[in-house]
Amino acid sequence: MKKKNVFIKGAITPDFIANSIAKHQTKTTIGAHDIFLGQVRADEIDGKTVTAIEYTAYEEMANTKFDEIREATFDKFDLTCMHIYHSLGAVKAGEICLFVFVSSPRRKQAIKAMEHLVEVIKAESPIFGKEIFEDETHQWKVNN
Amino acid sequence: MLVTIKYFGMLVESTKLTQETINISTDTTTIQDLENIVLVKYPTLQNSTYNIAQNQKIADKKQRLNNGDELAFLPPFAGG
Repeated sequence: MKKKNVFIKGAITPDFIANSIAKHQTKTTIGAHDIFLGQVRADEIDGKTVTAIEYTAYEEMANTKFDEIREATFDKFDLTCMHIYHSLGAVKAGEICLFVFVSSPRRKQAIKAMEHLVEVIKAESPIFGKEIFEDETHQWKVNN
Repeated sequence: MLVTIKYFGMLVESTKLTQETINISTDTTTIQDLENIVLVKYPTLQNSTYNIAQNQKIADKKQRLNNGDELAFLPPFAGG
């Protein structure tokens, strides 16, 4: 199987997401989609506000890991299709950095699969985030 | 024996480089041995949290090194 590339340079646009939804209208065995969008938060830390997160990744390992995650999730849930996209580079507060899209004949499988997927993506994908403040200082984000 | 080492995220602030290939002697046999060399080279890494991947898989430090291995020092993940 050809390895898919999960990464998109910069923010994931609402247009990209809308087009992705539109492409599924021909797949009429689908009865339910579940979409998760991760958005960059303007956290305030020690009086400074996060203006953007700059993402980097160990891309080869991450794409292999995403393939494994996709395969394991298809085995576990009754899904018709599944798409994962993550940003690289700077994403401003309020913009989308993660887009996960699962489709199933039935809603319960889609919702369960999504919850599983997002947790696994956050825990296992080698992606790193530098939170940039308005004064151009930074700190490194850690998932918890 | 040649191994390539990659550094990511906050660790690059200690190493000042993202990748290097080093020639290691035959008494450097495990990932732990290699880590010891790296920590001598970049002492501030001792204050960092990381896992080490060997050929793109998180590895146990007891695992043996092979010629041509790609090691990666990975700080905590922050995707999503």
